[in-house]
Amino acid sequence: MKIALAGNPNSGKTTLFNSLSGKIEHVGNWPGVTVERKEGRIRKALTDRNEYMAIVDLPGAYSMSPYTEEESITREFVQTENPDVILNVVDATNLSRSLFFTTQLLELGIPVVVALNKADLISKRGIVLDAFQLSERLSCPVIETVATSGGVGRGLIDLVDALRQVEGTKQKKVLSVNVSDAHSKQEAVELEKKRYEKVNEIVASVERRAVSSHKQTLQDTIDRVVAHKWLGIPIFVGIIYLVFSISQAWVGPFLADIFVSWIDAFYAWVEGLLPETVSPVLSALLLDGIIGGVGALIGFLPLIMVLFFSLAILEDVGYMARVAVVMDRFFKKIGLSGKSIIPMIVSTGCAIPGIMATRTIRNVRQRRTTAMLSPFMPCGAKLPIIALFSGIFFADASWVGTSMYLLAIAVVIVSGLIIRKITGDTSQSYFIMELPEYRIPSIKRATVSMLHRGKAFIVKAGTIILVCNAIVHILQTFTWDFSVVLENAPETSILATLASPLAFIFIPLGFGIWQFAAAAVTGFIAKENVVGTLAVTFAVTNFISVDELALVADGSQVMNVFGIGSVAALSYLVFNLFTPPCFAAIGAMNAELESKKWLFGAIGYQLATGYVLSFFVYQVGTLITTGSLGGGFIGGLIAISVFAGFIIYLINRPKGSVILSKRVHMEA
Amino acid sequence: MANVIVIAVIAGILAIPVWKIVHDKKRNIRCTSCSACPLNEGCSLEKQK
Repeated sequence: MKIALAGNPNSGKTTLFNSLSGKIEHVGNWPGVTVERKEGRIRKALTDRNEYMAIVDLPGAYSMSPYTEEESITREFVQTENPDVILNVVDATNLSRSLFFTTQLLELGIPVVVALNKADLISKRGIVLDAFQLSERLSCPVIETVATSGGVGRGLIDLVDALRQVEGTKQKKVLSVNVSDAHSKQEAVELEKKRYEKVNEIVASVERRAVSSHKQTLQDTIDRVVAHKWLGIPIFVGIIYLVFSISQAWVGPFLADIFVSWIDAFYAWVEGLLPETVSPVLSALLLDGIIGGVGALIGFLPLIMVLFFSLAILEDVGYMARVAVVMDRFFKKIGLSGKSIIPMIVSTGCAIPGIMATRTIRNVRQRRTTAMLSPFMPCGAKLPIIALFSGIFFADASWVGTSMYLLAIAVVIVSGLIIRKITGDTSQSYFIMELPEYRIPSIKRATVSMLHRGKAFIVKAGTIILVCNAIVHILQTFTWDFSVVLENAPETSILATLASPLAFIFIPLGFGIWQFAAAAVTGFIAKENVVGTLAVTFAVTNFISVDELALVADGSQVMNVFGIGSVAALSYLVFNLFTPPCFAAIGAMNAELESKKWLFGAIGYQLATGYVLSFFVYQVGTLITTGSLGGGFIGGLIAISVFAGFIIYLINRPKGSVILSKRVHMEA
Repeated sequence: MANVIVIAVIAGILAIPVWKIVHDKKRNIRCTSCSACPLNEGCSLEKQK
């Protein structure tokens, strides 16, 4: 049996899908988490037979009319893949809105079972709902469910029974209104109006609300503050600051300390196993290149997991949806919409799914712009870099991480404006999102999300980062004639000679040192490599102090080894965060941008953005702290002038040559 | 002899991630963030499963 799971956004489809299938697909307390269908099988605990019941979770839809990409997927699946049964998930607390879609599903001729989800909230809201009467009116089974409850979930066994019973039956229609039969727009509007009237009539006969919908709820009151157009911004800043304080100053370092002591013990154990007769080159490769390099990065794992846990809690409580509302005002001004915020929030975990999530945006220019700008958001891989530099140079100051998020938002807004000017597309989009209910966050969901991300981090550290560190170590151990580099001549190594020309370019940015150049380059393979490469090239195997309960073991000593000041360190951090993302994310950009011109334009723009921001941070910072400009100012200024000139040319180029812009207009 | 053993250990340690990288490349796996990903079937990784 093939079951299609359909319903309004944020009605709890994916949560119900997870409860029915036993899967742990990503759910979020906001609409739009599912943008593609996903398949599973109803778990045996619910079927208690050997029958095969496949279930397909579809993206949320308000109607069968394909107004959005998500609705197109739902409509196409239901109409072309002939599911045996449609399981319509209805938010029991919002019946009048949900039943519009239900009445459309009832007209397809496929048997429908309605899951009256969030049934636990009905009585809490003072709502009386007659499920039996509703079932009579809709001519289909209606089962009350609570997908979030533990175990098999309330009502799920009855639900599966109902699905089994209706299979093969013919669904009765509630009303025969088909908008596609309309001959004019006016006629279509009239038909939709008729449907609304029918829905209202059904709701009036089955539902009694003790609370007037006009009355202000606690949620409304909270939203007036949290999603306020001005207050919303400092609240957002405060919350991000709190998240960074928890992950990088309070809980994170404490856990990291314990974790690092294990890594240190492992390092010492391996060191003890090696006999004295082993070549120092080989033991250094094993201990410092492989264990030390990966260990230095893995040491940050507890911090990252605490951060991901905090972000998952924020999402689950319903706060992220409010962030989208607060940001929508700014995004609209730059020609994007609140819909562009969702990929950017996803990008704070990993840029790749963030870039892919842009495909729900219909306007081509907006979609491409969002895919191009999403990687500016600090992803999980960039967090160890933030943690490392804030730990060494700024005493674990939470403002460093917070300011990187705020800078990312500022960069996105300014860049959006520039791209809009370049393309000449001034079209505007409007973003309508139903704000989800605030709810007590689930520790289980946040823990599962955190563990998954933690696992992904370990897998990456144990594969690509490990190999890169080993290669970096080999390249800095040998000269071009394959003799071992002398202790007092590290600049003769293969790595140093390859990275030195690049280091020259970075002089105006304050970090014209070959080790930093090498780390920035390996960062394009995976951003975590920046920390790993710095650890290997500077031979620092432990960034976290076990004795001092501090994020960085003897920060001043590491600072001396690095040989740069705090302003240059901040500049380096900015450079790594705002230059192009890793190659994998660039691959995702290639797939979603669907244009080589946009792809190379995006990479060039990202490189220039990182360079310009870094230049300003270093030069202005040096001017403020020392009273004079930093080294390489003129060279950097020339580079930036060339970039600025090119942008001005693109903005002002004659209309006739605006091929790209024209194409965007046509596609839009 | 000790050097040979250490070389073998290092080769072994490197062989596993290299195999994994090549294997993932063949399957067109671009990231490891499936649990955080809203795409699922939209991802080429899922299509090839």
